[in-house]
Amino acid sequence: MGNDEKGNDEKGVGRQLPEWASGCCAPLGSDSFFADNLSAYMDKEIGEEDRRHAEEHCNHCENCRVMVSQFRSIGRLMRESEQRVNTDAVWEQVAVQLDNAQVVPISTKTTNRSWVYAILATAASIALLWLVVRDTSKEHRHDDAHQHSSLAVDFQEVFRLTKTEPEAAIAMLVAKYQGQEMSRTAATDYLGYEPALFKSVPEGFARVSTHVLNMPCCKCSATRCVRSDGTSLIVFEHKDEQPVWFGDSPSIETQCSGTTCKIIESAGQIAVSWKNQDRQLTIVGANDLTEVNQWVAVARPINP
Amino acid sequence: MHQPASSNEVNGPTDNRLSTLPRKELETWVTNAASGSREYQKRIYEMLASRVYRVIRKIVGPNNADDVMQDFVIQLFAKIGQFRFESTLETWAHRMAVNQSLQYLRKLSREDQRVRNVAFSTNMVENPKLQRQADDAEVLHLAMDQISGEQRAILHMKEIEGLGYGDIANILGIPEGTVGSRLNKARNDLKNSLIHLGWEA
Repeated sequence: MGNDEKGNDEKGVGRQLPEWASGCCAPLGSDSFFADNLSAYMDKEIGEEDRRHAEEHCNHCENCRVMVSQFRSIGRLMRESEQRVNTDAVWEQVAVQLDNAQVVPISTKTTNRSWVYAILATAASIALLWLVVRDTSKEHRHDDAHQHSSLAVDFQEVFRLTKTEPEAAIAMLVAKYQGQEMSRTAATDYLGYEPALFKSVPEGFARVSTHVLNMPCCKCSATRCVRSDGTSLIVFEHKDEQPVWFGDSPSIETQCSGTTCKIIESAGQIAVSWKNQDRQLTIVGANDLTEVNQWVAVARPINP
Repeated sequence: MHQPASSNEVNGPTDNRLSTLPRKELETWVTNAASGSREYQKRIYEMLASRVYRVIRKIVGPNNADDVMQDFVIQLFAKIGQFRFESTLETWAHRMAVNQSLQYLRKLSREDQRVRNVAFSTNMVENPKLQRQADDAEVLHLAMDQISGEQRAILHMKEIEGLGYGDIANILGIPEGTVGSRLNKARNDLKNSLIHLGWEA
């Protein structure tokens, strides 16, 4: 840093001196320069002429000599106090996460965002999840003409409610999609197949309720499950040949337990959707990828 | 710009700088890491980890360093395909780590910060002897807690890593000419905190 350093716009003639410089360096001429460039002088970031000037100033100014000495002592203190670090443990933890989720950015837009683990940590960015499906069941096979927009589910609201007010989330879905609570047997009969998670849920989870929703394109089961800490997630399953898409909301594709999943994140929670043969499963309210992997591994197709 | 002062490196694997790799080899590393090669990801991690972890720990504190480091590494490999070799990979990664650390700090609620400061002040009043008797490292840790994350970052880069003003400016995304004045302020604020804690130079 010399007399023409780029930082002149932060200085300016007549600028008030730092508190530490008051009482020692007059706010004029060379003394003002020294006050501003004390660190640059210490760090050998000034030119030879300026350095000589600074040294000359220090020879006549005890306050500045003390200040330089104190600043240098602080540097020594920092270096002497710096501890060695062992980053092996961090790598082991990171490697597990990398193994669990081989993150593959699916668009430039996506890669410009940071996620909760990788790319998309822009929590406020998600407004809607569009579940677009084409039902293959006989009674709806003819209904190809429906518009995607008519199938919109207010995903943000589901996100917001699932963890803290899961019953309200279910109630909202029931009201919107003429849903009803059923036993697993009744739901299996109604749907014409047995949802995968009826057989098994990951360790640490328990099924609380099962509802059947009549979404515009298809029948869908919505099963609320609770963790040991009492928080919930909701698993949706429907029979479908077309993968779920998320409109233009940011999403990523990952490999979870060997299955390609599409993931969207909002407010610290995760929604994940994947295809299981002729079924489409979607979880809303997962905490992390470890949890997602558990579900994908367990919810294998049954009686396809 | 003059060369930065040398010799204030801390012992550790920071000598294994990626910048010493030939460009073609570095490109191979980056390409493979971006493709998901765990082997190359680990190579890059081992080159960067020590240095990056230190600055993260300095900014967010030891209790939060592991979490922020993990998030940083995941983000690093998610974005490494975007690295354009316009700066060194170290600087690029370092900038990412500093930004991520500062972002983490900003997420802490103001209330948490206020409570922390009050607790700190109370401790000072009630235990002045204890504070005076604390060893220098502990006092430094307490004093560091009283300055901003940005100040901790810039002091660490200068005093521990020995970076020149140009590199610091590049990492922090600030004009090079402002590095000196920011260091002045950071050093002075840290000095005042240390003196408040009974430190004597």
